[in-house]
Amino acid sequence: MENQISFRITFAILLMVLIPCHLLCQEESIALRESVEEILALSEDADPAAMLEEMEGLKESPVSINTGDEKEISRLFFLSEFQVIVLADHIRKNGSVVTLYELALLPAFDRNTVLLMAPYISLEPVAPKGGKSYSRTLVTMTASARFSGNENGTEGLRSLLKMKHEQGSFSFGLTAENDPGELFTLKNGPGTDFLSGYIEYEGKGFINRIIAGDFAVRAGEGLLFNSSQWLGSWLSSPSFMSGRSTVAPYTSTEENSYFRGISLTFGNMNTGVILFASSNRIDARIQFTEDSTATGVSNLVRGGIHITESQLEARNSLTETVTGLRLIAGAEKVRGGVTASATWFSLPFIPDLTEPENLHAFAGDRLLNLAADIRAGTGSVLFFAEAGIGLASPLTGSAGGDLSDPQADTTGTDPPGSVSTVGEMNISDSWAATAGLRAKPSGRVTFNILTRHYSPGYHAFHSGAFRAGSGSGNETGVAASLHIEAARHLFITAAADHYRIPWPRYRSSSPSYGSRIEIKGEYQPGDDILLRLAWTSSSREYDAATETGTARSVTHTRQHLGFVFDICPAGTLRLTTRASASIITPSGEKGYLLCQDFSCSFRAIPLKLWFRYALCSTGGWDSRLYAWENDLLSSFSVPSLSGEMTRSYIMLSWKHNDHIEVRLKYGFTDGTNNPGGTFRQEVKGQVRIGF
Amino acid sequence: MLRWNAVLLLLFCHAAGLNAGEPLFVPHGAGAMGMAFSVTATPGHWNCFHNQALLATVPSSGFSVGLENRFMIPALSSKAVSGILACRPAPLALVATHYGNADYFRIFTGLGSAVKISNSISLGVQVDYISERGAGEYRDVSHVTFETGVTCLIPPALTVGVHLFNPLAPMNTLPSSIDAGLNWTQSEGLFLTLTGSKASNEPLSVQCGISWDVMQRLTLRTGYMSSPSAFAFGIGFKSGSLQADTGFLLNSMTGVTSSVSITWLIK
Repeated sequence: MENQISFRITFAILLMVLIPCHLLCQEESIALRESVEEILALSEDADPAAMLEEMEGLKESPVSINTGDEKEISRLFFLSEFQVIVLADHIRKNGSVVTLYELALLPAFDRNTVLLMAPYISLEPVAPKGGKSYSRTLVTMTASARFSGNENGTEGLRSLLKMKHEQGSFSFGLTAENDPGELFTLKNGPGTDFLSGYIEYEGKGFINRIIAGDFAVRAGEGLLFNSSQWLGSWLSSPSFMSGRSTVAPYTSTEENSYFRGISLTFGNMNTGVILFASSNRIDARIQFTEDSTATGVSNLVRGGIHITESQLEARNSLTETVTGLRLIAGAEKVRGGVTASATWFSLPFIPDLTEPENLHAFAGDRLLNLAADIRAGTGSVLFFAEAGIGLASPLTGSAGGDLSDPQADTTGTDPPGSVSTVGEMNISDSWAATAGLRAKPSGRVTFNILTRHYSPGYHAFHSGAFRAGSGSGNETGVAASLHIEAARHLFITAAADHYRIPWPRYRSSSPSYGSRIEIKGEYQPGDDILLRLAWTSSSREYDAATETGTARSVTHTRQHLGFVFDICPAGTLRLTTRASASIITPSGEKGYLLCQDFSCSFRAIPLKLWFRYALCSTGGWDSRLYAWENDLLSSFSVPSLSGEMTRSYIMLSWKHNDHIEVRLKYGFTDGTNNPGGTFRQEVKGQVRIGF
Repeated sequence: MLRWNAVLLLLFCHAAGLNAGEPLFVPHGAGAMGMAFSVTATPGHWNCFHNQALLATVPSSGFSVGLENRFMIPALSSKAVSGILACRPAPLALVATHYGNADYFRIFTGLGSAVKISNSISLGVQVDYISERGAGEYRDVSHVTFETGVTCLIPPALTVGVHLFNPLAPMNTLPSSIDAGLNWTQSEGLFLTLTGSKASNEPLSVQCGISWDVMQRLTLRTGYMSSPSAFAFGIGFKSGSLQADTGFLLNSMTGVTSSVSITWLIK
C-alpha cells in the first residue's frame, strides 16, 4: 500500500513540475470515444480493434488533403466516394484548405464529419514534387507486460512489430504479434503467434492497385464485406453510409477477419473492377469422431488468444477460401456496384440443432453471396442502398458431408433454411437489404435515416453493415439521427434505433425487440474549451432467469449519462474532467466514474506527457463503465471498470526528431476493495523509427 | 404581465387536476402524423386541432378530409373532416371524426376558436362532444368537455405552445393530457419541432419532427415519438389551393399506421 501511495505522490509532483509546457496534438473525436465505450458496454462481442487500429494508422501518417488527390484523400476510409470527390474538387478549384471550418461548409460535409477527420488529416501546403521517387520506412516495436496478484491468462508479455516501407508505386508491410502468454516458437509456426504481411503496387492508369498477401475489403454498405464493421453500429455517427468501397492492405492485429491471397483493382472510383482470391486459416471449434477424425465445425472462434489447450486446438484449424468480384459503374451523381463471392471451408459447419437459435445457423461448407448497391444524390441529399443474398450449400457432397446428421429433423416440420432442408434454394430466408438517406437541408442541420432487414438465414462471414446486434442476419430495424447547430457554439445530436430480432438468439428464446436512443449536447465557445453532456439508453429483451418452464421475456435497459469538460487553460496544457453514470433496469444496479486527464508537452525538450486518475464505483459488472485512454501508437486501450476501482496511468512520448519516437506507459488498476480483486499493473514500451 | 400570469395560472390549475382514464387518441391530419404529432407549436390546418391557439395564425379558410388506418386494420380506422373559417378577430374551426366499426364506434366533434391577446401570444379554446356506441349490452356514453391552448412567438423563429385537453377529468371518465412544444423555423422551408406530451396514466412521451420543403411543392417530413416508441414519415404535395399529405407511423411491435389527408385552402 505504501508503494501505491508513493507512486501517486510521485505522479502528482511530476505533474506540478512539468505544467509550464507546450501544446498537445489533436486527439480522437470525443463523440467517437464515447461511442466506443458505449458499444463495448452494450455488446461483449463487439470488437473495434480492426477499425481503431486503422484509425491509429491514419494518425501516424496523416492524410495530406491539400494534395487534392482523390487517392490520398480516400485513405480516410470513413468518407464516401461523394465526399472524396467533393473535397478533391474543392481543393483543385480553390486551392489549399486553410482551416477545418472551411471543410464543414462543403456539400456532403458537416461539423461532425470534420471533427472525425481532424486527428487524421494534415492541412500543410503541398510542396511541388520533384522528379525523384521518395521512399519511406516506418518500424514500430512495442512490448507490454501486465502483472497482477493472481495467475490468469492475461498476464505476460505482449510483443508487436509493425513495419511499413513505401517506395514510389510499391510498398510492403509486416505485422507480427504475440499476445500475453503466447510462445515464440518456430515449431509448426513462423515464430510469432500472428504474422501478417503484404506487398502492394499502386498504379496511376488502368491498374489501380495490386495487393499480394493480407488485405481487407469494403464493398457497398457492407452486406458482404466491410473490414471496418464496428463503425456501422455507431448510432450518432455523422453518417450511416459506409465508407467508400476499396481493397486495402491489412495491418491490424485482429487474427481472423481478413483475406490472404491476391487482390486486383482496375479502373477508378467511377468505373472499375475488383478481383480477389484468398485462402486463410482461421480459428474454429472442431468436432471430432471417437477415432479423433475431424468431422465438422461447430462455431468460429474470435479473439486470437492461443494459450489454453482448447484455444491451441482451435488455432488455424479451418481453412477459408474466398474468391470475389466487384464491378463498379457510375457517374458524378449516381454510382452502383455488383459484388459476388464464393466461400469454401475445409470442414463443414454442423450447428447444434437442438438449440432453437441454431435452426438458421450456417450449415455446410460452401457459401455463395451476391449483392448489388447504389448511391445517388447531390450534396444536400444522398441516397444509398444495398441488397444481397447468401446461399449456403447442402452438407451432401461436401467434405464430411456423407455423415448423416444425427440431429436432423424427421418430422417434416423443419423451418426453411435448416440443415435438413438446405439442399433446396431458399432465397426468401437468405436475403438482406439496407437503404438510407443522408440529408443536409441547411448548413446547420443534418439528418440521417436507415432501414434494414437481415433475414435469419442470411449469412456473410465478412459483413459489416449497420446493425445493432452481432452476426450477419436476424435483424430488422429503423435508425435515424439528427445533428443540429441549435445556437452559436451549441450542437445537439439526437438519434434513435428500433429493431426487431425475429428469430431466437443467445439468451432470448423468442422473437425480441430492442431500441437505442442517444441525445448529446456540446457547447464549444472556443477552440480551447468544450462542455459535453450525453444521455444514452439502450433496451433489449432477454429471457428472464426462471428455474422451470418457458422463459418469460424481460426488457433490460442500460442508461448512461456522461459529462465532459475539456479545457486548454494556457495553450500548453489540456485538462479533461469526466463524470459518467450508468443505471440498469430492472435490476436497479448503478455505477459512476470520475476521471481527470492531463496532457502537456514541452518547448525545451521534445517530451509529451499524459496522465489520468479515475475513480469508479458500480453495483456490479452490468453497470460497468469504460474509459478510453490514450495509448501507444497503433494501439488503443478502453479498460472496463466495475465494482470499487481506481485506475491511473502515465504515458511519456519522446519524439527526438521526425525519425524516432519512444513511448512509455505505466498504468495500474486497483481493485483490491472488491472481493477477490487484485492490483493489476501494466508497463508498455514502444519505439517507432521512420526513415 | 397580468395577462401572462392569468394564462399560466389557468394552465397550471388545469394541469394539477389531471386525472385517470384511458388515453383518447384523436388523429388529426397526415402532416402531423408525418412529424410524430410534435406539432403543438407548429402552424397548419390540422395542427389547429392539436393546439387551438394556432388558429390565430391561420392565413386563410380551408376544408379538409382525412383517413387513418391504425396498424393497417380496417376496423381501427378513423375518418375525419374539418373546416376553418379565417374570420377576424376570432377564426372558427369545426372538426368531426369517426373511429371504429359497426359494433363499436366513437364520434368526436369539436368547435373551436382563438384570439391574439398580444402580438406574440395567442389563446385558443375548443368545445368537444364525444359519443361512444358499443354493441350488445355495453352502455353508450357521451361526454362534453373542452380543450385549450396557448402559443407564444419568441423572435426570431421560435414558437412555444402549450395545449391542455379535458381539464374536466374529475367530472368525467375521459383522460386528460397536457402537451408543451417548440417549433423552430431554422430556415425557409425547414423547421424542427419538439413536444413533450403527458396523458393521464401514460408515461411521458417526447416527440420530435422535421419538415423540409425539398421543392416548392414537395415537403418531406419525419419524426420520432418515445412512447409508444415509433418513427414517423410523411410526404406533402401542394398544387394551387390543394394540399395532399400522407403520413406513416412505424412501431416495431404493432406495425404500420398510415394516414392520408387532402386540404383545400381558400385563398
